[in-house]
Amino acid sequence: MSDIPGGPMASRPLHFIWLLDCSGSMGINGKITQLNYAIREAIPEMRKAADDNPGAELLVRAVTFSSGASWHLAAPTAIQDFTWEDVYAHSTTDLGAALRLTSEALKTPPMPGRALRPVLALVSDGLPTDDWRSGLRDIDATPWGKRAVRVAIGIGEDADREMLKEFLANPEQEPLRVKNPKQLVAAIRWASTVAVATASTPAVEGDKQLATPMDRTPTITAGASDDDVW
Amino acid sequence: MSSTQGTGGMLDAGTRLTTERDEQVTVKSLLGFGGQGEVYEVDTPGGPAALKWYFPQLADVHRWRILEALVDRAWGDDRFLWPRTIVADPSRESFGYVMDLRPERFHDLPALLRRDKAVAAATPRSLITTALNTVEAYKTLHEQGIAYRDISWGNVFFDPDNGDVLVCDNDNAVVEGESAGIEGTMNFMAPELVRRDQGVKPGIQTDLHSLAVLLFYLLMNHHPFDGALELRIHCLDEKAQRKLYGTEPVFVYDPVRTANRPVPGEQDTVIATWGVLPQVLRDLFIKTFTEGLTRPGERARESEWRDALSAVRDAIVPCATCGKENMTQPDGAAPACWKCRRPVDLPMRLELTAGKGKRRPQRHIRLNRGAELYPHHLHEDPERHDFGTPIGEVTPHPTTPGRFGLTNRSTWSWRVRRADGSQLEVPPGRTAALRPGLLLELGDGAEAVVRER
Repeated sequence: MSDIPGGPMASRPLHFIWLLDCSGSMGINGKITQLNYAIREAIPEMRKAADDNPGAELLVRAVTFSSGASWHLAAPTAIQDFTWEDVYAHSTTDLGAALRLTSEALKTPPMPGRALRPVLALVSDGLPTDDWRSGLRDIDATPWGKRAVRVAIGIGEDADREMLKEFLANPEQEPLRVKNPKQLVAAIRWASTVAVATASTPAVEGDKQLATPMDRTPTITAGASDDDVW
Repeated sequence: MSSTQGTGGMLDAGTRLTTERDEQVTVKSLLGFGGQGEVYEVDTPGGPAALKWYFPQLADVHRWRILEALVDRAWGDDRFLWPRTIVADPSRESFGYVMDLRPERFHDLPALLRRDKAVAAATPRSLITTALNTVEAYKTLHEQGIAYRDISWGNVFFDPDNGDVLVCDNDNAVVEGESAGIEGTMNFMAPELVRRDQGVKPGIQTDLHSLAVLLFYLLMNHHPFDGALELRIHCLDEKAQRKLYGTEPVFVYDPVRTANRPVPGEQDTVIATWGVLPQVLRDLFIKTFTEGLTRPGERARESEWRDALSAVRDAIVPCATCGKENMTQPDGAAPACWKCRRPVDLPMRLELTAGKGKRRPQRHIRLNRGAELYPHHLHEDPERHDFGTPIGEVTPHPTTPGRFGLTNRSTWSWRVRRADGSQLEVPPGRTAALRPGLLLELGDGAEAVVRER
């Protein structure tokens, strides 16, 4: 663009962190495979959401939790360079460990002095097995963690709705509950794009667009789906 | 029953719907989704088209009535992707409308703001033309008493080659005074709306603020209130934006309140772009973003933007050293080239006075090689700028290097009056030699004098 003066618009980093349940139950009926698929499906939409918000530089990371927690993707990765490596399921549901690990990343430093609200996107299918409340308090004790845009997806009937609700810390917001792979794809897509829009271009009515999101998923399409059961 | 296939959206591919005009449309693929719904490519009896389908919670009677009114108001203007007809289906919880597909030559403004390669063809001339076309498009809406209410970088598309624009998402437009619910994002909203001042509703006056923000983004590649004060904010959240854009907005180039100047090293783009912006445009931004903050009546109106942008377009001059286009102050001094920093060599200037009545606007057209005269130059209050059919063009003399003339591309004759009182006819296709002092009668009461600088 050397024919017009001025470089790219100034932008702020938008840190997006997936918190993914990789406990043993996620291995049942191919849920973990569906999760890997759904995240890959969401990548083009996330790129589009980033392109639509030139004031935001979208950087993605992922934490997995099962027996303990670890960075699946530790380096904040520009969405244009982001590719998804499969996660695998085994063992317990140590959400607290994941929250503690994430809280370390939400301190300044390593967070920069200036940024947009980070996004924390939690996906889980069951009950945490460690002290997750303590981990959540660690998140809330960081300046970036307490301001984070949060989205939560509960997979199947066993997902701990109360825990997900507590994670969201917003009375107007409900966790997304998904019952089949198609809904999971829609929910991941929704979470990864609407949360980015909420963090990068705040609306005057606050985080309203995060409320009642399931209407936006393709559940009203007529006709039964043959992949309704895991 | 036809077979359907998932699109990733609310409607499956192959879904058949019926419009209010009793036409069948068939869903092909999901093109994208936004805050209000999804957009699909569909087949219609008239060929491929786009279908916007609302999220069910937004598909209420009120929105239906707005859509009906918009469809009734369609006036076939190629600058708008206007709702053509409503599509509903009793078995579904929502509805939508059909509009034309956006041709591929149109790109979104965020691509320009990111300085994306896809819009690398953009030049100062095409950007000024984009700004002018955008202003005239909204002027057309406002003249009909329609407020757009959601002007942002998400709903104006442009052609980087020539500055043509396409205004989309027109379903948020309503007749002034009606409410339609949407408020938009804070960086584009008038401060009184961000503050939620009592009794203030989105309308034409608040549109004028949003339009100025859009023009600032387009020409300056920055937000008008993001200066030193923005850099002091750690987390740019809702509360911070409410202060920055609502309760304590300060224009980065406010001549009096200087606390929010852009910071070198951090906000260099706006420092560079404002540095080369002609004063005639600076004045309108300053007025809108200082007095206009508290007194909406002081915001620059579309006609003011139109006249200033049109004047700057006529005063774009290529640098003789590096060839880059430079915007210049219409009747002002030569600036330094934004690219190579050498002084821009100003060519002769056509001082044109339009109109037959008392109001006779003066226009200054820099006579570069290839510079063109258009029908709007001859009108005192042009309805619309159309750069498709020039009526005059600066051309080189066929045999004498360095000599230039103004070729008559119109369908009528011009008249040249020389200093000694003699006159010459310039029929269509013929050329009048350019020399300072030359007086040209261009028809319809318009006359022009060639000036040395």
